[in-house]
Amino acid sequence: MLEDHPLKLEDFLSEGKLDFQWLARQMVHGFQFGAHRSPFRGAGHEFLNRREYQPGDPLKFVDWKYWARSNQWFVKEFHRETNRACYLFLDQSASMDFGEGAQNKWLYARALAACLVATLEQARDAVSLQLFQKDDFKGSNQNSAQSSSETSELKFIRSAIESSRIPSARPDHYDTLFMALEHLRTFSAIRPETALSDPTEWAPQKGLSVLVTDGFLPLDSLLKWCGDLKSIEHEVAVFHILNPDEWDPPASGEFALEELETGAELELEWASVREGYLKKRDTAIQNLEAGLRQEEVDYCRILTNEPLSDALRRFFEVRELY
Amino acid sequence: MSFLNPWALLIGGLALLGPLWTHWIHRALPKRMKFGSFQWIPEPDTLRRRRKNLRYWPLLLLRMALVILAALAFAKPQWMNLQGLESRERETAVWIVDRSFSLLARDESGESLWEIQMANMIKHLESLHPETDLRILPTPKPVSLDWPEGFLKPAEWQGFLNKLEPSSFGDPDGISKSLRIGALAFRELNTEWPQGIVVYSDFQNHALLKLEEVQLPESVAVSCVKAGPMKLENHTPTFVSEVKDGLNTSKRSALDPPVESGSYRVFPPATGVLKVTESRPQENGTTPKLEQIDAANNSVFELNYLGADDGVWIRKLEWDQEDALAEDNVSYDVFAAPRPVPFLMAEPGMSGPSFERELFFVGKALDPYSGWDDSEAEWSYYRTSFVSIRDWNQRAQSAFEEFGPRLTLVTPDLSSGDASRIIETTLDLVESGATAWFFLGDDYQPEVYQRILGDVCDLQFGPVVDVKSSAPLEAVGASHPVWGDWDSSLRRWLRRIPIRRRALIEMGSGAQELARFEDGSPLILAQSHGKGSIVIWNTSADREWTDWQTSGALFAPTIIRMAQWSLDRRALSGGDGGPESPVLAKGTITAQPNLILPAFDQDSRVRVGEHEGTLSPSGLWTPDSEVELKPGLEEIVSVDGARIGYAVWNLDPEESLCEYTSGIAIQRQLESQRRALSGTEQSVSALKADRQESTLWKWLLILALVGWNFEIIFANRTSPLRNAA
Repeated sequence: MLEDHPLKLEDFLSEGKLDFQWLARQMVHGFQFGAHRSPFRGAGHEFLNRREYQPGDPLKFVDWKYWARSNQWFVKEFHRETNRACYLFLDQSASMDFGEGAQNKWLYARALAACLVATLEQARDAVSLQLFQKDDFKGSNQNSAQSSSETSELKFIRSAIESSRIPSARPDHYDTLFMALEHLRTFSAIRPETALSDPTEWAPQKGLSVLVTDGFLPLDSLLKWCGDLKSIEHEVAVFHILNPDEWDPPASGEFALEELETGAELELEWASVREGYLKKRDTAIQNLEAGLRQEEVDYCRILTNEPLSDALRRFFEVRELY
Repeated sequence: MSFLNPWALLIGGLALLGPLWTHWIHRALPKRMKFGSFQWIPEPDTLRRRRKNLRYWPLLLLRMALVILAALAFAKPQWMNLQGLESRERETAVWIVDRSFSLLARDESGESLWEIQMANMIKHLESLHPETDLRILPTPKPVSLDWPEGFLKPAEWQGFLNKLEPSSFGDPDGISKSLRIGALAFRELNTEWPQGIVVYSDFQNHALLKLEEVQLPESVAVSCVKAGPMKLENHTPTFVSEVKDGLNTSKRSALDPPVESGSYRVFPPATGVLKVTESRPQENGTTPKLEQIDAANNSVFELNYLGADDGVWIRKLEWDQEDALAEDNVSYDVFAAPRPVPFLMAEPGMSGPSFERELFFVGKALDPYSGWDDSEAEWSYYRTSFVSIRDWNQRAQSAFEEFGPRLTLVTPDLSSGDASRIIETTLDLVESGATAWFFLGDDYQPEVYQRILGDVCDLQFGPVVDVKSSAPLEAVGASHPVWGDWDSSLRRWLRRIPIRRRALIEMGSGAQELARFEDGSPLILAQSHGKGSIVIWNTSADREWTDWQTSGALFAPTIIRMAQWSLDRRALSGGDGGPESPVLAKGTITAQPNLILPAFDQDSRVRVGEHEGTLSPSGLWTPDSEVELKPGLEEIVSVDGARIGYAVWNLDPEESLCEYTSGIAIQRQLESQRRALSGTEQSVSALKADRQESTLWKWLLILALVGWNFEIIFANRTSPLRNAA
């Protein structure tokens, strides 16, 4: 169905704003995930239902309270928690905030992350949203005359962003993730060593790590980070998000460019630099792909003018999940 | 090149900033944008940024060219050669301003001719270079104003011009006198560059005739600025000359172009009945139409049925009472018709071109209503006024006997077979009381004339001689039977008839000499024969031997007066007796000049010509002794040789007027002034219409330019310019 009617990000934009939860669920419901093994019944923390006791059932699952009230033997069933957690990394560097409207890389990356969250929600996998920069979220309204309701909302958002870093498969956790994605922002001058910190600090168990980035991180740091994750038995996937103008700059035209990271300005005529630009682009892409391939990291390059459904399909093809 | 409105260039220069500004604000600014993949951009030192700021250069150049064209259109460039450019700072002009009372007449729009003339002068004054040395000679000279005598700058003349008013003290010779003063002022110029005198007048009352009498230096050009459209003028054959570079180049009658239709005001109101005769030139002669208007009750009369469109010309206007002739300052003088010549009999044949031309010139001269141009297409019109001797018959003989003596024009074309019969018939007529005129010309043969006239005239016809520089005629006194009643100045200019060729004729005691050259050879000879007389003109009636038909206003009056004299003489003498002896003036006169010169602070010794005298601080020059002065021009110099000016002595002792001009160095005059005024002899309404029309399209051009730029300036981003960016 989605192949016939690819879903584009701009279709979900309303006055420049995006409902990530609605987008993600609309997007993921188009995929058929019936082959997935979840939900698992078994040991876990989340109650599923009761059934009559059958011989051989462990006695620890007998609902003794219910027996005391009704003198019937029933056992409690729980959602079995998987031992795989998914860690989503969003590149929050300022270079991500490039592009107009639906082709903005940061918007596209968050929408893609939301779709992944929705997909993992279907599989009841624990999801964690890891941030490059700790955000002391203060909201857009810096006016001192803030109402108390606004203050409480900001506190709630800040709490949601903070709690989204802890992997969990609870249903309300996914809502928290969607809210966090909606309010995350980019930062300039992020230091790579801070962003790509030691994964053993936040990923004690093995799982899946997905990085959504525009690839302008230092390649050495990125590859080392991937290698560290692989060493703790993480599967790693990298979404490489690029704006079409970055991938294929204008053939000509005089522009005054401002670097998003540092604010430096540069006036250039594209016709004179385009050839060198494409050369450096191809070299950087080749180095990135080669490095990731060497680390056995799944790599998926996406241009933000691609339909979001196509991007998801390509990801799942890479992950052999679709 | 100079500009009449240099301020327009300044404004045009400022206006050039408009398109420049438009293109500057829409120049190719680099598009500002934030960019993420800076890492892939090559090193900054390899960047080659184009420094092209302004775009659409052809469009910008086109806009600037349009602005420049508009500025030039308003600036009114005047082209002149480099010589004129070099002399721009030294230009000099003389204006002669007629302020006669006739200028109070009003045209159809109610605007007086004086107002029109003042507007022309103010406009001209404003167009002059600020450093122009200008002298304005009003005529008559205003008594109540302390009118400047020298050259001032145009700005200094502004106040004096505003004080000028028409005067009732008209001086008929005022314009010509002023023109002589102006001409003398320019005489000091020793240059080939044309100089200019501008005459502002309505050109009534012989004004143009007077102008023509003035012999100008070769380098002086005279431009005439006429106030109002051409009006009825004196109907004596008056010739208008257009003087260019000192040479009379063309002539036309005061009635050419024909009188325009419209309302005409008789000023001052005259009494009597105005007779308007309409006719048009055609093969069958004149179709007269008479209309009588009682001017006593109708000071404004309409001539609406007249006009040039249908070819109708006014041929004649006359009052039924001679009293209607007012002073010189009436707008429409009453033409004093010359005594009509009943019949003009001519030599038969009319085949030779010489005869046709002579017939044409004499016929026109004797026709007081004729227009005058050099076209000979109308010669046949006058043919009907002649009776051919070849066709002499009993009817003609009866008319001759009924109407009395005739004037016979005989051309020198006597080589035809009928020559003997023609001469025989002519002499018979002369004997009966007619007067025969013989004009010599290129086909003059002394032996033929001697043969046919030797028996009746006491003359010895000699060969033809060429005169390189025309010898002046001997002065004519006030008692001369033909020209004696002429104005002295007119008689003076009569001396300068240019005649290139003449026959050497010796005169016997029986002949009468009416005019002769200073070298003693005769110009006009008369010989009585029977009851009539024979007149020998020692020149041609056409332009074979002379140019006096076209170089002065003397030819027609001379012909008329000679015709009158011939008939009067015959009438007075009863057809008997010889002609009266002509009285010729002496070559010199004695005068006690009372010359007023620019005064010095103390008594100074000043020489006028060869005569020294004392110049008092009051400006009165008194010669040391009684002096004899020859008429003409005398130089006034101080004892140290510095030239002060010129004195012009008139011919008659009783009119020993002295005119002078100040002796300041005369500079050049801009050719642009003459050009600017050369086309002003059209009606003021036409000038206004032209000006309005030219101004209209200029403003339309400006509006189009402004609109074009504003469309760009205030266009939104979807404008073609932005889209192109």
